[in-house]
Amino acid sequence: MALDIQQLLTPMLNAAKAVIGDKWPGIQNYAETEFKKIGKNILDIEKNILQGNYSEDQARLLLDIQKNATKAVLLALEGMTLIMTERAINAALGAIRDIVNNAIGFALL
Amino acid sequence: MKKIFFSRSHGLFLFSVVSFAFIMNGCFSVKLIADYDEAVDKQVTEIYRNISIYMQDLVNTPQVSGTDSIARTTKYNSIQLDISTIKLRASAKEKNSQQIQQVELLADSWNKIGELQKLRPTKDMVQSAQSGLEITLTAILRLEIAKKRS
Repeated sequence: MALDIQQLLTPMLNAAKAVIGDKWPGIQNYAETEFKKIGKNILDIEKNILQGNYSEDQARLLLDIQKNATKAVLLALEGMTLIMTERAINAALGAIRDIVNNAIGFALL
Repeated sequence: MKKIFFSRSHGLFLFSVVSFAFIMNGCFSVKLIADYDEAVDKQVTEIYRNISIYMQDLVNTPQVSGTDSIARTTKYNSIQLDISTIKLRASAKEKNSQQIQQVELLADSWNKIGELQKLRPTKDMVQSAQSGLEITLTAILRLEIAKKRS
């Protein structure tokens, strides 16, 4: 049975969203764009397997490349989430810098 | 009495804030991921370009022989070496595990391209593989550029 893009895209996005959590809106566009490309590539491979155009070995290699691409996108999302968290912590520290420095009388923070 | 209690509380607050700052970073800002590296940015961009040229050549001329075959193998090996160089550079930096893994995935996909070539790929197959490689390379660049903006 032939797959459609939504069958692949929805679980991919839901899985990524669950891992990323509240930072999701900041990286949603990138994730959706890249997962759509990967989903389309997987659909093309599936179509060619069903039509007998690809051997099992060829299909396996092509799917492995798409699998690697998916992991690379997830790692980018993870890194971008860390960057957003880092910014939030540093902004919080920055917000109390003057209070702390004034209270102790020298520039500690 | 009330005043003494306030002072202790205030001191405790300051101690907590200062300790938090030092524990978290040892300096004055928290670092959860490696800094932007211009060299990696440039090298990955160059690999992206070289892989695009290589894959386009593979689409235009799937099978080559003789000196063309040797030239293609040389280009393939050169790209493989470039990927290894980036991996080495990425591995030398702390808090860079995401990028190291991304480059390892790129290296693995490039090995798959080598295997695919032995199986006489069609134009469709090469284009599918190229798209996967481009998504991987874009993911590396995307994260590197995000570091630049942080």
